[in-house]
Amino acid sequence: MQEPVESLNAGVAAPTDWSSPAFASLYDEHSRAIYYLTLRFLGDPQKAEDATHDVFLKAFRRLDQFRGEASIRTWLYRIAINHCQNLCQSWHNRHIHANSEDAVWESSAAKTDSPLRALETKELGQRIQKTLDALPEEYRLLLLLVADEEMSYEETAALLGQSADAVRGKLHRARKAFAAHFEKTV
Amino acid sequence: MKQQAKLTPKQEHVAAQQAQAQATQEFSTAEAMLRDEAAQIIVPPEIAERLKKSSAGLAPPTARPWWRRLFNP
Repeated sequence: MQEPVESLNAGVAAPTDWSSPAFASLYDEHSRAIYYLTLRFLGDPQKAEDATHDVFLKAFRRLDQFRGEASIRTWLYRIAINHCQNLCQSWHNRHIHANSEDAVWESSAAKTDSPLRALETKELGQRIQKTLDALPEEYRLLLLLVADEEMSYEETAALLGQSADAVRGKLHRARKAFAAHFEKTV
Repeated sequence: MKQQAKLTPKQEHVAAQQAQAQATQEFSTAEAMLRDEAAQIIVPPEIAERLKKSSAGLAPPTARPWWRRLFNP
């Protein structure tokens, strides 16, 4: 029987090896979310695999530092976001978006009010990636975090260093930007 | 045996459109689309294998929990 993940809350000794049922359970529960975030943040399956490995290895090594002030998921996301941002900085492949591009996306609201339609093919993944790549990092992260039903607006806001109200406002603009750009990827 | 009639270009176009419509998914928001994709993502099993190997050489964390450091300096 596996040790419940709740036992990894603050004050409980960290598992001493990877095969610990507690850590294995933590990996089983959160690896998909972390892998998906890194995949769509970095845009490369191999980089995402490396990043997910590194994130869980860091978590394993730092589990004794987890204070239990946030959920384990939020804590793992924080490690993952920092890791991805450091990688992006070191690769010098940050995308810089001019304000004019934002204006284009936001002015096309009429077109983007319709539902997002996509063919049920593997091309969908490529279109999603192209769209996310074209968004400012802030919007990209916001959409990826809000897409996780386990994350509240408050938790997302804390990860992004903003208020929950600011997140709600930006989410509206991020949705518009995504929809406008998604249409262009056909 | 009667040979099946060949479709005209117009009929082919209509058939293709119908097939496409059947295979189209609709999402009301960007995050709904991302959520759906995330649910279908398969995490490469190699990651878990690599983690087993990577953590094998690591010493277990030696630092005490933050609250123990706070209350028992």
